[in-house]
Amino acid sequence: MTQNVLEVIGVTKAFGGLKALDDINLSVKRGTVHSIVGPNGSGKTTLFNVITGFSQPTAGKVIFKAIDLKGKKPSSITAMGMARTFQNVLLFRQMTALENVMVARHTKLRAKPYNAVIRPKWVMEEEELNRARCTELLELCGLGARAKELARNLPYGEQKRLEIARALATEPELLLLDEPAAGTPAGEIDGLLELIQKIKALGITVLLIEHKMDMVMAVSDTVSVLSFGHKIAEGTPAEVSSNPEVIEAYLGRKWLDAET
Amino acid sequence: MRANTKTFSLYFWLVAALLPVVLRNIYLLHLLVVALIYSVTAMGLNILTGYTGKLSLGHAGLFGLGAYVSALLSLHEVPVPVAMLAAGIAVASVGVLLGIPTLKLQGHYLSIVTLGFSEILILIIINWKSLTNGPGGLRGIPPISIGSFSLVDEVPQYYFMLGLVALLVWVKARIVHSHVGLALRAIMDSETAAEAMGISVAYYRVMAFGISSFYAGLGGACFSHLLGYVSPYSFQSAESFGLLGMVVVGGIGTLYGPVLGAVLMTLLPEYFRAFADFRLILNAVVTIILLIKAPGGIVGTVQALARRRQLSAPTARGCGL
Repeated sequence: MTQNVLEVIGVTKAFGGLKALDDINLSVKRGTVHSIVGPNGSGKTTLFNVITGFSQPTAGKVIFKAIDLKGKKPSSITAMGMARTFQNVLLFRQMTALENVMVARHTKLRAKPYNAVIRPKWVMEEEELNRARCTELLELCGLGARAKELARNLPYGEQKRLEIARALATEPELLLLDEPAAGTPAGEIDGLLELIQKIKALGITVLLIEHKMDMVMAVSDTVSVLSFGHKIAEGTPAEVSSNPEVIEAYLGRKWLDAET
Repeated sequence: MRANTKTFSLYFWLVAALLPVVLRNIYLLHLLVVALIYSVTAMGLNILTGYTGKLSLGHAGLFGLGAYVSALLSLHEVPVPVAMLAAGIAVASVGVLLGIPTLKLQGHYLSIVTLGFSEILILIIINWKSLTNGPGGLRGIPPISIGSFSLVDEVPQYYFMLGLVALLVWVKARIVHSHVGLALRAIMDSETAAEAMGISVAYYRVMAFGISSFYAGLGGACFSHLLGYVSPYSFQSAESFGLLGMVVVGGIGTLYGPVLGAVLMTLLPEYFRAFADFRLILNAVVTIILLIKAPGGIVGTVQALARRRQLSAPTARGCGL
């Protein structure tokens, strides 16, 4: 197995004349937390959509665990060991927290569709184990007490964490988190940070989009910076935060001129 | 909730089983047989619309197709049970063929396609005179026989349908409470999220069309052999809306909703017969009032009341009755 769990090679994504991503190269090392930052509209979520198969790149390719993902459906990519959360929270709102997580166990079940009706003992046992595993995941994400609550009734911060629990249930090797801290109350940020570190400790590689810079700085091994579809910098948090191009992209030319 | 569901089921089947003993009115019993036939198809519609979130306005066509396939096979000397099963399978296949090209369609667009598809099916039946006898319909369809005993009287017909409906409710409950049901409900909530969780939306959507159509076809087969006569005009688009009305009034996304809805929507117009031409208006008014006062349908409302009394944690729709 290669050291890089994910390779993005020369990916371009054009919407008509607009290039949302322009020749992006990215290598994500196994076992690290790799953050992608950049101003709004810089192409971060588009990159996530290309990686997870929700949109096909105009040019370039995405290699996951040494397999080219070209033409693969999102569900097949998830089955291969990649899971994601969504920027705007896409839970199964009419289902309970526990059910949300159980849905995500789908690719891990041995039960075939006909086992819905024909249920030998092993199917029931698998179901019980599955339920127990999902309850554990809820507890890991601090939602143990919420198992029976409908997803839509949870506060926003908890919905965000439920999305993480659900993604973990697919047993991913690579987890893509799209702004997990957005909308999370300030008091819960530390808990989220801890959760990401716990996930990393489980051996899961994390690819993180986040705007909360202190969180990115604290948790990341590598940071890549996007601006208008280009990757303008990459390195450790310290390297990136002192890069003039990054400062310009975030704060504008004037600010940089005034500084020097 | 599960315990409540069991109590409800027990009472439901007990009352249903005792009805012919108490009820001496043969005509009413006949209406109940018809209602149970419709409830089979309504349950199918509920699997697609109530649990997968795909609104079909074409189930009358699938219902009719099932009726004709079974009738024609049995008129060509195929044993009735075999013909009925074949009708279910044939209509399920047609449902799959309808499900595949419509995968990219959502909401109203999908509904319109199902509506058109159903119309086409019925037009074929009306115009393929050499096979279907066209607008004249088919007569003398053999009844369901068990040994030398034929189901022609209302009481045995009623018990046959009750047994079949019980079996189909049981199968539906199993599907709904399984990993398959979870996947279908996930698709209803968000296809994007379901796909991201490793559920092949295409596969399960087509499967939902298949299972739903199987129920519809089987319902049609029951219609043929219990009533003995089919006409293409029994399966026109208005019937699709009627079926939808049964599902919605009874409780969409619930196990017993379509059955109760079918009974109510079959009996109600009969009792309104005295009002002559006004009965359709009356029927519509009752439906509208029901939906305003009880948007969850009969079962949904009962569930909500039970929940309020228990003050227990709410259960997701589709989990209870």
